[in-house]
Amino acid sequence: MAISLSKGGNVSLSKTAPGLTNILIGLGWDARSTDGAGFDLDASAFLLTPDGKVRSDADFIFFNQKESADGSVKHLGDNTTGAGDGDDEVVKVNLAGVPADVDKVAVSVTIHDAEARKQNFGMVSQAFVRVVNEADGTEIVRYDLSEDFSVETALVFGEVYRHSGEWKFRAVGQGFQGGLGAMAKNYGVNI
Amino acid sequence: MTPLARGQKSTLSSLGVGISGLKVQVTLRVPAPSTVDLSCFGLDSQGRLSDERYFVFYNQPASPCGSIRAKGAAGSVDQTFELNLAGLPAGIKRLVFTAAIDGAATMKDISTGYVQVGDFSRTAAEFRLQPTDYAGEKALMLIELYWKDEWRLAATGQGFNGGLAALLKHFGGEVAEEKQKPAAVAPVSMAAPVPPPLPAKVSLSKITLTKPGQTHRVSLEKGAGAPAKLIVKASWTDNGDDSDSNDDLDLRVGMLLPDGRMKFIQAPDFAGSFDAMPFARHLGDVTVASLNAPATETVEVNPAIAQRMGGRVGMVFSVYSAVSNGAVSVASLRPIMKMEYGNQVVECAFDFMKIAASKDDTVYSYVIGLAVIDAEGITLEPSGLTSLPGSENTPWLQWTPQGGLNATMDGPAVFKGSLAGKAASFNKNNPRRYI
Repeated sequence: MAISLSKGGNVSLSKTAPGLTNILIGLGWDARSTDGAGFDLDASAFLLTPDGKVRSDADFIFFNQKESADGSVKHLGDNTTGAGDGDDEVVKVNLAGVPADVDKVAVSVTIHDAEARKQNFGMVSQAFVRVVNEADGTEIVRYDLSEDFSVETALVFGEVYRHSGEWKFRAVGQGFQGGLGAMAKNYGVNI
Repeated sequence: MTPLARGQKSTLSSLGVGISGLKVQVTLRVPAPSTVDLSCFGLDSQGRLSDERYFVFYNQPASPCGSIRAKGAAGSVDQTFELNLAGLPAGIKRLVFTAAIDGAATMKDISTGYVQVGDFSRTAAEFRLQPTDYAGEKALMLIELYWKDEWRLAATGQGFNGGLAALLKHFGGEVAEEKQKPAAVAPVSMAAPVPPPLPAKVSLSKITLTKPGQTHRVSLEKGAGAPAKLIVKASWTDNGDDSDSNDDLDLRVGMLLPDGRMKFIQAPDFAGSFDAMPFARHLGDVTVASLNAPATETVEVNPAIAQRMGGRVGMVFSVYSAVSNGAVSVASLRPIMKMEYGNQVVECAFDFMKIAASKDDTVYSYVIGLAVIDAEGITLEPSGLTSLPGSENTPWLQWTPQGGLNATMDGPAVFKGSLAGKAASFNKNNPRRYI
């Protein structure tokens, strides 16, 4: 049973799932069944220093840069339609491998070209994002995007962050204007 | 009132509306001659139309449980659904309110489109459709009410280029239209003996005629499964003038017999008979209409009328406003006529507001439709004829040399008092006769 976090809520990953080494950030949605431009949701990750910025553009993990330099954060592949069951996009984080100067990994969900296509999460069926323990597939946190973030087009899902020697997850659940580009800029990526 | 963006979701409780006395009002206009059908689908937890009786629309204005009711007049650009979500069967988890265009327009041509959700005292939320959000869609899921821990509202605003048929397919319903449409639009030709009736399906067959001269032919069926009646309904709404008494129109039917004589029926004086001459009967006088409940008067016609009378029969359907009921522009009551034969529906909906008579409350008779019935089928045509100001004359029919029907507004004023006496004086020294 996944923990349902309210916005800003925290969950200690090491307490919820002791021995946790790899987490998966899973993003899923249903392919569009109505006519019109397809729904292309993207999961992305940002490796951030304590000041909330990337060390370099290489810390922005997304569909065009699928792996961090150290290999600790991997995007397992871009799905542009939502076709298929379960998680349609997965970002894998090897907690032990995250470099020491990285304080947190922020995860975002955005709709590609949302403005031009006039789309928001509410228009997408069964859209969710979740944190899963890779070892046993247990879901740790889950957001229902279709339902609870219906008018948003971009969302900071949450942050995996270090706290007193353990990893925690903070459910940010913050909508964001301007899509992935604006979000990347906000984290200090040169777009 | 909360404005809803496309895609937006909300719980009903957060909108402050209850689940029993709920109202969903839909208005969707597209440029004429295209028209819009507004419907509600009651779906199961899988989003399927597992019970086709929960497709509430022009041919089926209430769900079996009575908890979904379409209150608007047939063919109207507005529809009001009254809902009691608490009264729905446990299997119905989602109500999808839809619009489907009949005609060449698509949803990018919407001139006005909005859905309001509320109760009987207030509108709690409104979703306005933006034509620029659409391209080739001919059917839309406008809004949805659905159960997820509690009842919620979604402003969906997505749809299908394939129209109502695609929508039905999306809901897993069987589409009867594809099989029926070819027959419905066939030219004036005689259908071969029809196969045994198919199991009942959702019928999408509706034809709306709006212009005089536009005709539609419905073939009569033969055999055991053939519909037993031709049902003609005239309906009108209250015009919102706060007077109910003047909403009393009477449906009158003039019948041109094969021998050229006329026969008139109307309720209650000359109701006619289904199984004997004139093989058509008026089911009764209805006296009050309201905006939400249009008045309807119904005439049933025996499909065998042409055989029984020995030839083609012409029919003229008109509505009449008795001056004693109070002055009213009949046009403002928006009278229309609908003929049902099995699951085929043909509507004659000429817009009388377009003509000068609409401004004259001494124009008492409006012709809403004409029909020619022979042994094989019925041809229907709307009419925009109205009586002269101050005239109590009824419509009169004659066969044209080409075999067509000619309607004029110079028939006798026959409807009150002794029929025989009036007929005798009209018929005397007159080539035109009625019985």
